[in-house]
Amino acid sequence: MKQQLLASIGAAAIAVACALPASAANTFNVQVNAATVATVTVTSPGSVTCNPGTTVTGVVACTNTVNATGAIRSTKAGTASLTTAAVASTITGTAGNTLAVSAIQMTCADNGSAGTHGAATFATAAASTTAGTSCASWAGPNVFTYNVNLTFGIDSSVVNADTYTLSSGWTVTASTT
Amino acid sequence: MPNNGARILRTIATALGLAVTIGAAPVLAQSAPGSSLSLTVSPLVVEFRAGAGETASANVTVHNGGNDPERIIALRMDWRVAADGTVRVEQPGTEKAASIADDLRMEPADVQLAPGETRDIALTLDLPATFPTAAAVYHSGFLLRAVPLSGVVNFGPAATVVVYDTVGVPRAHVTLSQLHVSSAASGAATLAARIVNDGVAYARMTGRIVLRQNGALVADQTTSIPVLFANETRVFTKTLSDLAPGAYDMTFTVDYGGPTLIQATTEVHVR
Repeated sequence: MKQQLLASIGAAAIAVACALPASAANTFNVQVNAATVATVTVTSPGSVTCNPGTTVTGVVACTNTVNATGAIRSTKAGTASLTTAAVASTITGTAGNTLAVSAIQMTCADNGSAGTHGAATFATAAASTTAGTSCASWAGPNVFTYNVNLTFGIDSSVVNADTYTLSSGWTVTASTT
Repeated sequence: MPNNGARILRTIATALGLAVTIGAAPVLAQSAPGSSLSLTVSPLVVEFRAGAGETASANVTVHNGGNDPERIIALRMDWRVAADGTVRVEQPGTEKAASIADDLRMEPADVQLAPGETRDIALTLDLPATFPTAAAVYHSGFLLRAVPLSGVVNFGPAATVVVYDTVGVPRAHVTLSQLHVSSAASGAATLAARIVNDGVAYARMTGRIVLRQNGALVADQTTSIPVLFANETRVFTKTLSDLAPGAYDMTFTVDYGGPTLIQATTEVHVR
């Protein structure tokens, strides 16, 4: 009985297959392979100069703005982020004083990001580090273009009288996990 | 007075970004002109499944979208995720037993790109026969930096390529050890949830918050939660605003991609 039933089902399946119109066989699959990607374009002035002048307390704004633009596609739950890293943890002045790079504070502001992303967070007066300071982060999923301005200030209360020049090599790094 | 380091300032100028070679100590050097460098990297996330004695590979594409030639330098790194999802770059080996930095390579690790040029870089994981066989997830990666051919740039672009390697079939599981909702500000409720990864795989999660008042749906939001490695704990916080005063029921559900959802419900009185 069980064999008969199976045989009947098999015959029906063949009959159905034979009854399909010819056009149904011309099927195709669409495969979309969208990898995680980031573009980072960093436009910076000749230098960012911080001059506390006569100020000895509080944060003094530095001149010039660094601009980061680009695009990020992350994994479904991957947060996209921009971090900024200094190349050295201390800056030595010409008179021998040292200044911790953490005295240089970074503020990041959206300058026209667009697309699909989750909640955005931007840094406000975040201390610079060599390991990387978060400038901006967007909760996933992300498929978007960003335009972020980075401005800097210096904590005048920790700057001894001297002239400091910091190495080049600051990086603005895009990441997702 | 200025000699004893007192904070009396004369003319003090701190210039960011004038200098010489990457990684050099701060020194006086020639001024770098204004610049614009562009770098595209794909993929940013690579997941291998290789065990002891095995090799896995992938291509990483780099592209110079700028107007000037540039040099792409691949630097091996370890990394971890901050609470806000930001990738923290670490020295190779910092993650100790979880690190595969010594077993990863990129070739070429230093490449020059003309404007508009695209190149593939081979990313290879080559695990020794002595590599642990216990089911687990390991991670390391590369920091790809773009610098001009002169090497002098104030601010340059970079991107991270994070690499996971899964050995065996590690158990994925998270728990919600604490859930607290407070209303410190007018019309706002802040959820704080302590999430513990008590599995041996990493967890890439989403958190869904459903807020109801007298049974009526008031808010339904889903948010991604940054990667959480095994044995790590993270406090996830989220603030809902523009709420009318009154009592609410809040349900928080964590989806970590496993067979079960983790859910907790609590009450909050919004001021």
